[in-house]
Amino acid sequence: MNPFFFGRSERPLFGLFTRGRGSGRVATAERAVLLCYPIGSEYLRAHRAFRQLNTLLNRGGTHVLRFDYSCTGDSAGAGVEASVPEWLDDVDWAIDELLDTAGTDSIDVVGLRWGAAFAALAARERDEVRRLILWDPVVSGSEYFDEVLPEGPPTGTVGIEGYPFTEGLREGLLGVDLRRQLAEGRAIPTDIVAADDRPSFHELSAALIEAGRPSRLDVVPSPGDWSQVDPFGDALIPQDIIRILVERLQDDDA
Amino acid sequence: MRERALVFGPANLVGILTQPDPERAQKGAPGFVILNSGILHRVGASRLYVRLARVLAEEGFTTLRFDFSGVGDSDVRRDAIPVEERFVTETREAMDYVAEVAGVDRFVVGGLCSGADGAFFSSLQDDRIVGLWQIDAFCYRTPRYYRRRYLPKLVDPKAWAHSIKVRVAPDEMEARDDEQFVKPEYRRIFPPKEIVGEGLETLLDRGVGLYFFFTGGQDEHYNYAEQHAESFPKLKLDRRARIRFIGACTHMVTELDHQRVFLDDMREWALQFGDRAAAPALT
Repeated sequence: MNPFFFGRSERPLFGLFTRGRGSGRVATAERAVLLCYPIGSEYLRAHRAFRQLNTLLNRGGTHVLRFDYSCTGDSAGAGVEASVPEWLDDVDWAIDELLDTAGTDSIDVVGLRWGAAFAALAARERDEVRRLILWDPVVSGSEYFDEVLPEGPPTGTVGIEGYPFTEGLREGLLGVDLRRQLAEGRAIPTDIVAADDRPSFHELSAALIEAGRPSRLDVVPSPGDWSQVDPFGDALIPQDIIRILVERLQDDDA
Repeated sequence: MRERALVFGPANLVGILTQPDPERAQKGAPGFVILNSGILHRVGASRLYVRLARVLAEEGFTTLRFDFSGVGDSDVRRDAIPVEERFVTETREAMDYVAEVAGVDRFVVGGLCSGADGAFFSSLQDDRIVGLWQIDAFCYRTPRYYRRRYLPKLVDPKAWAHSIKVRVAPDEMEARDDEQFVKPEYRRIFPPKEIVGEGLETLLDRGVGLYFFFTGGQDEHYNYAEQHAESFPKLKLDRRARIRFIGACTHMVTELDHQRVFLDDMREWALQFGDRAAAPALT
């Protein structure tokens, strides 16, 4: 296990790289996966699930990098400085870092919730991304804010379950709509794995197929809601989904 | 300010060391060590631990926030140390590491909830600790607590209705599929009040500086500002410790305004430790 900082010296990103153990079907790990966290309270809640996914992938011989976007987790920057363009840039840095550290020329990327959106948007320009898995993706900013701020848009910086969302950040997030934004760009095979059956997942899947991307949508009913916060801090670990992600990422024919 | 990611100690614990710029570093000041709260990893609830470490670095202090074994990114411990000793053992390993890399020989420890508990027990067992801060520390109900909690409910018909519903259908109200959730592994048991009182007395006699931040998030235990001091009248905590209570604050300190109050308090409280042998009593 190698925790480290990488990226721009004025705003380093925290990353944790773990090597595949070579016990899988590929003797020496040739596969590498980048894991993109959600944001806000969902990041904290997902940390343990990511660690478990990380461990299972390593056991199957896959190298893994997970990292914190700037202004989140252990990375540099204050929450009020966060912005969508910076976060997309961070994913770009992380892709470079994994390619370099794993010594490979192609990687897979898994993102959860907003992490799925950032991964998909950043990967549009990256030929090295072989496959994308969007896990419970936030398909659009407007759908997200309808969930977390049902009372309507506030002004100024608002705290959502402990994390500041400035007007600028909200504006950036509201500008995201994967159905529209993934209609162009490289035709990366893109799977959607979701715990519930939302119309927006079907719409995204249809948009991807229409754009010529190999895509499939798997709905794996699982309890829990990433945006729901336990008052004493719990973790959500959807075991069935994690198992499917591992199978999918270690299936060379997928 | 400089932050370093690291793996330290015999159990390969993962942590982040935050150090001040050399020109801001306070000579002879203690190092700070921040302890996990339940299963939350070292960034802390609402990223509070990250922000605290950076605030402390601005004031010249070095801080290590780390994951106990089996929590966050740290592996499960493989040696024979019993689980109940793990908090103290690993807190000491963290202090040993900071002592080695930062050249400090005194420490301030703290945390939220189970982190507060681990910090309390570590403080009792390691004389290098000169300061203890706790969010939602062990606390004890007083007659005034009961009056504040139950008197309004006696005249509230809704409270009676809720009580009846709980008795009739407890499963319906608590139902939850637990297989996919991990609740904090640490089962919080408050020691007898006398034990905590003796512990606090020991710490005060040793000159350990104390800061308590209580939230309304555990109002089943605490519901007014003076409760901690009134629980231990002999210790005169109202004069010898800093105590903050915010009734509207959640246990995870989710409101941005409450986070600012905590960080401002900590910044001010920490300044006492600069270049002093032990924290003075607050007046």
